[in-house]
Formats: sequence, C-alpha cells, structure tokens
Amino acid sequence: MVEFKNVSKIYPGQQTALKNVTLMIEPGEFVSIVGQSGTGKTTLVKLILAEERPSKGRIVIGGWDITDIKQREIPTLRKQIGVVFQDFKLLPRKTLFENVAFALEVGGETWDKIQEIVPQVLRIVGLESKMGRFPNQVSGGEQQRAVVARSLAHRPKILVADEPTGNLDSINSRDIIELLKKINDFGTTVLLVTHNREVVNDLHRRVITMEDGVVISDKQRGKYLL
Amino acid sequence: MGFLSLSRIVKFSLQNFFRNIWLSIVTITIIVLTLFSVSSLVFVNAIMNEAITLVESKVDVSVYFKPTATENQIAAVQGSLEALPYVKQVKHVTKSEALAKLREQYKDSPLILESLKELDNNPLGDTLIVNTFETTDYQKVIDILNATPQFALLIDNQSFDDNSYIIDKLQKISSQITNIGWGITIFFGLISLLVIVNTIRIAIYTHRDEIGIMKLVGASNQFVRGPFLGEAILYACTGSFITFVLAYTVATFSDPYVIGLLGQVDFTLLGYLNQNILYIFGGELLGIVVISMIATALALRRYLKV
Repeated sequence: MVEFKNVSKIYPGQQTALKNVTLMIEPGEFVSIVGQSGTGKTTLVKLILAEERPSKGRIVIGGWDITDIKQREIPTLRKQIGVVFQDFKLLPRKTLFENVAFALEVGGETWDKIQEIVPQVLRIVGLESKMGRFPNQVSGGEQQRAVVARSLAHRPKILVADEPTGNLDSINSRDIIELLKKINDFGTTVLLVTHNREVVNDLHRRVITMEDGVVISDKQRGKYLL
Repeated sequence: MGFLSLSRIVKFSLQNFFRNIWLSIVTITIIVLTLFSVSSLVFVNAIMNEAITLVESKVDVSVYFKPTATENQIAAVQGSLEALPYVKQVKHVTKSEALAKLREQYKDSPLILESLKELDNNPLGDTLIVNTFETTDYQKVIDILNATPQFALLIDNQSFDDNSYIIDKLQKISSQITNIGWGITIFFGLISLLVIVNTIRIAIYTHRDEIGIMKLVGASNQFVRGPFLGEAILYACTGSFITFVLAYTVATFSDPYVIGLLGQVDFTLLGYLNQNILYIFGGELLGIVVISMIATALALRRYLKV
C-alpha cells in the first residue's frame, strides 16, 4: 500500500531529513511511526501527500509511483488519502457539515450523495448534533473528530494521522485513537505519526522508530523505544 | 469545468463573501473610494471641457468694414471666408443693424442718443462676425484678411489683434488643462491600481491557511482559485454598483451648481452621465473586474504551491 525505496530527503542548505528510508506498509495495517521531534516523521508524511518530493529513491502509494508525480495529478492522489493533523486544519468559514462535505465536493460528489454520507460520518465520530456549528464553536477534541470525519468521508484507502493527539487531553486522545482503530477495522490502512508513548504502547500494533532521518527499528506489536 | 464545479464555486464565493462580511466591506469601500475618485475626475474633466467649449463659442473674429465699403464688396469678402473649410459661419451685421444695436445698448444714456441724432449719416460700418470650428483657426482667418490687399483696403482694421491675443491665451489654457487632466487621471489610475492590488493581496493573505487546507484535502488549483476569483468579481460588481448610485446622487445634487457656474447651457452632469453611462460605468466595471481578478490570481499563486 505504501512503499518507500531508499528514500532520502535533503532540504536546501544540506539539511538531511531522511536518509535511505526503506519501508513497506501492507493494506489494512495500523502502523505507528514514532521518534522525537526533528527525526523526519513529518517529512515522511509530506512525501506521502506529495507536499515534498524525494531527493533520492522512489515512493509508491497503492501501486502508483508518485516519485515524479505531476502537479495536476496531486489532487487525485490526495483524494485517496485521508489526513488528520495536530492543528486540525478545519476551514474556519465553514460549518462542520460543510468541512466534511468539502472533501466530497472537491471529488465531484453529487449533493444527494453528500447529504447521505456527511451525517453518516459525523454520526460515527459523535458530532451529528453539532454539524451546523463552526470550528470555533466546538472544543479541540470535537474539532479533531470533525477532521477524522472529513478524512473518512471519501472512503480513503490510507489514513495518515500526523500527531493527531498533540493538542488534546488524555480523554480526547483516547477517543481519537479508538476512532482510528475503528477505521482500521473497516479495512483502511492507518499510518499514525506520534511521539505519545502511552498511545503507542496501548495499541500493540506495528511500530516504526525513527532517529535522525533513519529507521532504527521496525517491529510488529512494538513498543515506544526512545 | 462542469456545471457541478461551477455551481459549487458560485456557492463558495457567496458564502465567503457574506461570512467574512467585514473584510468584504473594507475591500468594497476601497473599491468605491477608488472608483468614485475616477468618476469625480471624469466629472471635473466634463465640466472643464464644457466651460472651454462655452468660452470658445463666445470667441469670434469681428471684421469691421469702413462705411464706404459697398454691399457687393462685403458679400465678396463674406463668400471668400465662407469658402474656407475651417470656418463654421460668417454673420453679416449691416450698418443699420449695428446702429440699432448701439441705440438699444445705450437707451438709458440720453447724451449718446442725442449725439447720434445730431449726425446726419450713420457713422458705423458693416461687420462680419466669423466663427471657426477650432480656436486655432482664428489666426488663419486673421492672416488671410491681412494678407489679401483688396480686403485690407475695405476693413476698418485692428480689431483682430486683441482677439488673437485672447484666442492664443485660451488655447494655451485649454491645452494645459487637458494635459493636467491626463496627468491626474494617470496618477490616480496608478494609485488606484496599487490600492486595489494590495487590498486583494491582504484579503488573500488572511486566507492562506485555508488555501493550504483545501489543497491538502485534494482540491485542484482551479477549485481553490474559483471561489476567490468569484469573491473578487463580487467585490468589483458591488463596488461599481455603489459608485454608480453615488455618482448619480452627486450628479443630481451638483447640477444646480454646475448650471450656476456655466450659466444657461445645454449641459448637466446627469445628462452627461446618461449619455456616457456605458463608457464611464462599463469601463470602470470592466477595469475593476479585470484588475481584481488579475490581483487575486497573482496573490493566490504563491499559496497554491502546497
């Protein structure tokens, strides 16, 4: 599903973010990528979303080699990947319903289909009663749940969650992780980038540990090592 | 672009416009101020041109003939002048008409009227009043009259010189006003362009995070750009409409003052607006829409690289 073959990323000024990273994530897996700040976790996410291009190596997503992806092909790639960010990234001028609907609208989904799907995904994340509110009218945990709902709306094959619990308290963090597990149970590949030791250790799933842009450990049912 | 995408772009444009109403109001206010400045300049230019035309219409060359000049001789001069392509009209005022006019003019001065009665013959000569299409042509008429000896013999001279001085001055003032008008228009145009471009740049800057989010959830550049361009068109159209209403109101209230300034002439600002509505507001609307769209597209470019 996600394949990195000897991928390096060197930013201008010779700053190396990733060094010869090779990893393979199978469909339906739940993988945690852990490591301290500045170890290249977010660069890895940016490469998957084609926000950045690798300096060396090849990246294949769902059988599609995106190493030299063209600018006009990027929206097609992103429509197949759900993304959850630490800072939520909801559109402030849209209600929760409209935020979720937006992900479907960019994909050209009809209004009837949107009316059917959006309440469904908002119900899954427990926000059905708050769908008419704007992001600044709900709590941080609710905002993050809305982001999860948005990332689910177009039924992505992969869900990338970059520090989704970074701005949340422990109760909301647990809710979000439970949601991610539920999504994974439906068959979606989940890639969780985090440095939350407790979350990773409770998951008992595959853990890839990074340090200084290098994968130093890759274990099935792993623990937070650092 | 399909109908679905287009309808969504229109929907998002309207949503953005109304949900960020304060930013919309500020942007529209800047557009209205800019367009109203341009409209005011157009008004001032129109009044200036009308004033110049008015003064020009009052200028003529009067050719005073000696009392000895015969009707045939005067008719020959009149015919020659009328044949000139730049002469609009030549009016013949006979000596008896001139005397009647003089009597009318001094009807309250018994001394002058008594003096005229004392004279056996009419002391005045015939007069030709010449009007040309352009003020620059008066000098040509004067030159021809001076350069033709048979005309010079008939003419009781020297009234040309004073006129030529006034005409020369008027031409200089007229051309200077035109140049200043153009200078101010270009200056204002450049300032307007800078103000509008920067206002839109700031508006886009405030939405830079939003643009990034749209891109990350898979929106194409066209899909992101569409609502912002739609919003820019809404700003431009609303701003133009408000300027239109404002300009009409100002024209309506200014007309009595304009008439007071120019006198009873066939000119009102309202009439001028009605006659040139397409040029003034059509031009302003088109200009502001194009400027807003280009500014939006340019400002968006850097934030679309996500």
